Amino acid sequence: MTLLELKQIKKTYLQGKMEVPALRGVDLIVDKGEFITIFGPSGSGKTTLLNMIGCLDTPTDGEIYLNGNRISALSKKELALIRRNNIGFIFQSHNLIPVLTAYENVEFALLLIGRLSEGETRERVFKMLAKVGLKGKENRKPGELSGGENQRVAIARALIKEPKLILADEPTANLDSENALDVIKIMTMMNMELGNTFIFSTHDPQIREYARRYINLRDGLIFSDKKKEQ
Amino acid sequence: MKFLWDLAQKNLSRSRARTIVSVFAIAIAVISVVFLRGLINGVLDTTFANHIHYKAGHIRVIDQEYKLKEELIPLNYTVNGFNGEGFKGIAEELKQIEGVKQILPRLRFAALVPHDEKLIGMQGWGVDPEGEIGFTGIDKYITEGRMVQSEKRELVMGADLMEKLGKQVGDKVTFLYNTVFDSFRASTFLLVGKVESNLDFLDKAVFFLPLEQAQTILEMDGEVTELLIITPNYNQADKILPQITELFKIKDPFQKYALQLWNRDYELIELFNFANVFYDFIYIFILILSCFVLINTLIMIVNERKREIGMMSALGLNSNEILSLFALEGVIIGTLGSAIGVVIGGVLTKVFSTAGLDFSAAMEGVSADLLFEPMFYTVFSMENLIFAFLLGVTVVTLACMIPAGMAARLDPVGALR
Amino acid sequence: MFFSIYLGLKNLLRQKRRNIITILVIAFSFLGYLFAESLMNGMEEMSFESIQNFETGNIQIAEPDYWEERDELPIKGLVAWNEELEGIIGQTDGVIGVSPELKFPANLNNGIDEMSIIGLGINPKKYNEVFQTGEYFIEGSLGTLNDNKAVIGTVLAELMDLKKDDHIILLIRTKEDTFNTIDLEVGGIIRTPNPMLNSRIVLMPLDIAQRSLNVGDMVSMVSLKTSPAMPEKSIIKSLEDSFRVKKLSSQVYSWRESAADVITLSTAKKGGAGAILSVVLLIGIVGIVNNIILSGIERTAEIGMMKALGMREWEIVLVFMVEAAGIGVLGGLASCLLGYLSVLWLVSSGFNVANFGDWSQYGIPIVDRIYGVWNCQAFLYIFVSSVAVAVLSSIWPSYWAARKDPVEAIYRH
Repeated sequence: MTLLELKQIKKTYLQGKMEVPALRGVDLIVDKGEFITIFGPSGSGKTTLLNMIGCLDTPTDGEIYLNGNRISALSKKELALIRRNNIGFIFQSHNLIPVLTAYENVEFALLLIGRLSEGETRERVFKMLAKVGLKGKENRKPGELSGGENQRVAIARALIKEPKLILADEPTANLDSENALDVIKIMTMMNMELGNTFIFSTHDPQIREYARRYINLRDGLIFSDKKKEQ
Repeated sequence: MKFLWDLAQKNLSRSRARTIVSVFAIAIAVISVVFLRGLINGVLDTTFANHIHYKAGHIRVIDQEYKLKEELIPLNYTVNGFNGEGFKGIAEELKQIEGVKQILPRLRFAALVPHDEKLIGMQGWGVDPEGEIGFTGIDKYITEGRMVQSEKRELVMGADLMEKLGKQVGDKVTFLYNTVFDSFRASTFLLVGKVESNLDFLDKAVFFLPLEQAQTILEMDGEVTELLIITPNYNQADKILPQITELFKIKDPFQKYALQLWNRDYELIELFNFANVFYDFIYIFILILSCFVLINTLIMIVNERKREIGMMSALGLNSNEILSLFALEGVIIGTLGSAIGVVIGGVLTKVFSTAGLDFSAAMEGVSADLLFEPMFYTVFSMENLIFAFLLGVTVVTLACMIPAGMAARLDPVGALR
Repeated sequence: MFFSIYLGLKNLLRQKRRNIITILVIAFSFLGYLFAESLMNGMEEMSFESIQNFETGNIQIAEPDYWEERDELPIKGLVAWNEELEGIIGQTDGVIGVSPELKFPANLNNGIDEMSIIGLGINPKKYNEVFQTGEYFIEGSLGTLNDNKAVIGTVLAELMDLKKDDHIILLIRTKEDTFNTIDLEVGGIIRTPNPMLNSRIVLMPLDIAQRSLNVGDMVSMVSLKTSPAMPEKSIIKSLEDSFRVKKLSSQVYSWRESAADVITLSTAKKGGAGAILSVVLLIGIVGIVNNIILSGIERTAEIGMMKALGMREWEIVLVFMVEAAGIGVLGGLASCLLGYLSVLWLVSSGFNVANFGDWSQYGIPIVDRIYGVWNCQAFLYIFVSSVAVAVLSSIWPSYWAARKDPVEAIYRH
């Protein structure tokens, strides 16, 4: 079942008076429950593509459908609402609000939706933090946690609202290999268990191996798109 | 919105020093506003009180001609009833009106006292002693002897004037005057009291005598130069003015009389009203200056948290929520600063409302007509504190919109990079 | 040390927006002071000018006894206005106008009302050499002031219902304390910036006043106008010397002694300016402290790095203080520039107060506009205090920043 459809997405940035093309016509269809990696050299358009899909940025040309709804022409406010309800983000670092505890950081995403009672929120946040292996560290602030632990909080926060789509831009770039593997394993586990769609970008071939679909981006175009044989 | 509020509060603890300096900046401005305004209100209050007590009442009834020539204190344009039946007729009618608390008649005339081959000029005030005590509390200023009593041939005099004439309480004073028929006469009264009021013109140029006596010697039975109408609250005197105007429309069809509200038709009050507009600008100016300090801090906060703003926007906060988050931080600082400022300013105005600031050296030699007192007392009032607090919070809130707007306009993609 | 100064100056350009805002805070607060100061001085100046141009001239000559009691307007202790005195004054350098005057209390009667006023006998031609009243005639002129003519101010005219050519009677007491009257005809009406002249004074020819009061050739005072090119003090000195030589008992008084009232009033105004200045300085201090603290927080890592490189604490303090001094200098310059523009406006076009009632009633000699005055000292003062405030108030926050722990500082980022 199709979750996401990109049709001839183009994005051009203005650098001074120079037009710099970042994406030059990307077509892509993503089904529910996929676990996809996007890779390619620096400047190939990975981050731009993730930002388009994540409704953080709008394309210069082309159309994006999420769940069958055309989102490429929505206002900033409507985009914020879509991000809030349907999309979870994980970034490489500086991912969390430093004045809030691990618990509060995860809770924050739920408060934004504001549909749950206090008790339900509490239960869900504790459960999620346990799932990512942070049981007992709920009241620590980001400064008191390791880099890997911080990334787990970020994953928990991205997943807590049960979004259909989770985007991660180089989620392991700032971690040592052990922590990096931990993080990707948790992501895989969540994908299996909850069935959310994951799209992540990475430079690390070892991490890339965990994906089930590989999209190689070069010069703003999809160079190859392969699925892992089961 | 609750979680934004919580987050803003937590954010303020990120750098205590920074927050404290900003709170301090706002507090200083608010203290200045509270104190300056307390001082100015103090000056205004005493000035208004004196103006009301010794000139205007809450509403004043005078002859139209008298209004033009008041400076000459003429006796030809008096209040003597709607049909010449005497001022008491008007007083009775006025007392029927709801909201009129008291009617105070005064008969002012020019008098001379010979002393040392010179004639000293002064004003005699024929008054209703009980009424004066009730309204102006003149008895509090009588430091020696007592107030005159009705019908008796007595007078009380300003302290400086007594000194100039070399008179003591218990002495007899002879003064010269023109009667209403322009015949030049002299009368001798017993000096029974000494007025020491701090008000130059009362102390230097006025003596009080019972109204009946003044009317008799001036040959002006039933006449007074002015009738002061006193209401329970001078700020609401304008509310009963229409009823009085209505009465005069019927009873005084030829408009012999003029009705003057205490804060209209008096240049002194106009001058103060003008000055007040000026002062309001000064208060706002002071607050705006201190807001610049706060704006500096908030701009730094926004710059520091660019990535965080991007991340929050990825989490789905829209620009209004980001604006609120940063504005709330500023508003908390502003509210805290205003609260501290109001407390300290309140203490200061309270202290100086009894201790007073002595300006007598600086005010010496200023025209005696001014209804100023040389000691200035600040006024401690909730109104002043609330005004300063609200002004502080309002100006700060508006100022915070600048940096908060910068945060809200940040492009999330750029902020995340 | 030179490195610290160099670094401090470089840092000045680092957070341009923040530094500009702090500079603006200083500039605008000090501008407020300069503006208020100019306005108050302007009012003071106008009061002084009004006194000199309409009441006293620059120098007055009177008997010491008279001077003591001049407010009572006695008709005793007068000065003989004769050729000897005229000769002495005429030979004194720097005197450009001499006006003998006879001042006396009188009651003005218009046939209905009576009012106490001040009679002033003058010689129109000589009076005009000293005072500016001649330029403010609404009807008639100083030239019409002969025979039994009088000149009164608009306020008095209105109050007493008088028009040109109306007859008035002044009731006076002569030198011998007998009552007398002077019959006069209103020959001119004036409206001057001086409230006294407008409301309480009746001008009349000197000879008529002298004759009616029976004082011969005596006058109350002689008012002199002096050349602005010569200092008042030296003129007073040479007059005093001449009087001593000729054994005259008269004394010489500067206008400042008559202006004592206005001068005390202006002390009150100075108090007001002081209050504004202290608020303004406080805000400037907070602005600077805030600026340094913000920079300190922002550069925690950098401070740690500087310490790691071996910079001593006071050298780091210096970096911040140099930056603050730079802000102070720029703030001072900016306030002087803004001050220059606003005072320029105040001096040239003035501040319209005509709509706010007649202030002259309260002894403030203003007709419809207040003009500011230049005060170069105030500008210098503001510049110096801007720099001083910046440097002094930066000491504490600079230490605060410099004492940050280098290890923690680096670690945190």
